[in-house]
Amino acid sequence: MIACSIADQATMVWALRREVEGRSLGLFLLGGAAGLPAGVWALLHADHGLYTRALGAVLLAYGTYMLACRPRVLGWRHPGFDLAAGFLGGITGGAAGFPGAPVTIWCGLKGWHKTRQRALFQPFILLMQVAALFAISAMRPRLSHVAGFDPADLLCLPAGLLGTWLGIACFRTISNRQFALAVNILLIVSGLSYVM
Amino acid sequence: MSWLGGEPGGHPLSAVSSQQAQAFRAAAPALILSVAAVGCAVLTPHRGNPGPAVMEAVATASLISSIAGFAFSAICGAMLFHLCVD
Repeated sequence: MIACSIADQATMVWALRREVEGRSLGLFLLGGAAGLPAGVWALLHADHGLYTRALGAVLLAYGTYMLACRPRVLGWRHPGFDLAAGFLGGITGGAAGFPGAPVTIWCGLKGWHKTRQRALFQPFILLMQVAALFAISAMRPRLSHVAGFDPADLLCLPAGLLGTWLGIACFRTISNRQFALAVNILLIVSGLSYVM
Repeated sequence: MSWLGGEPGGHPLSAVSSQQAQAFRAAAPALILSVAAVGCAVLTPHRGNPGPAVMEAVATASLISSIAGFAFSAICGAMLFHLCVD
């Protein structure tokens, strides 16, 4: 699943490569790099069930609230907020494998165009996922019972990439309003998957 | 004959074939991936390999998650969990 997720993310980043703004992304990545060790530490030492349920409840509440009310745009433009969103993304990425939640929410609150939002959080998610894998393997003690990578899982890649190709085609046709709707629904789905 | 979308003075059929070529280029990755996905699902039903149901779950999760760009693991994990339970 991790291999498919990284392959999907890489495909999506490739599709949006012309829209990526390196300077904005750098700020989020800086925050993410600072938060990632804390997230991985939580994964290895804290009560996993407790904090994933808490994260799920937050995502569920936020997604439901945003679906129920009118879309809002925050006027806060200080780079410190971008850094903080990246930091939170690093923590959730290391602890729960979900670096995109805070950054996605923050980009949505900025009122950006759908392509600009994705051009920022897509490479952020990809880089944080890869960094989290390295951080986990570096910080965890050698565990013999942890299942290794099975090359047979790569047989799922064509199916995953086909789904991604179709999803990107859908993304190009939807409006900003529909994109915001899709983001909120996926936040709710993610929240449910952590809570249940 | 500009109603076919061809260049003024150009052959009308060249515009049609160029549109077809463009459409084919756009659809080619999907065709290749479809063939590869079906091939993986049908031709490798050995013990230990992911079955067609797993690949279906991965494809569905990828499709849904790539519309907004995240939540693949959440969707795929939930679907695979239900597959394992069933």
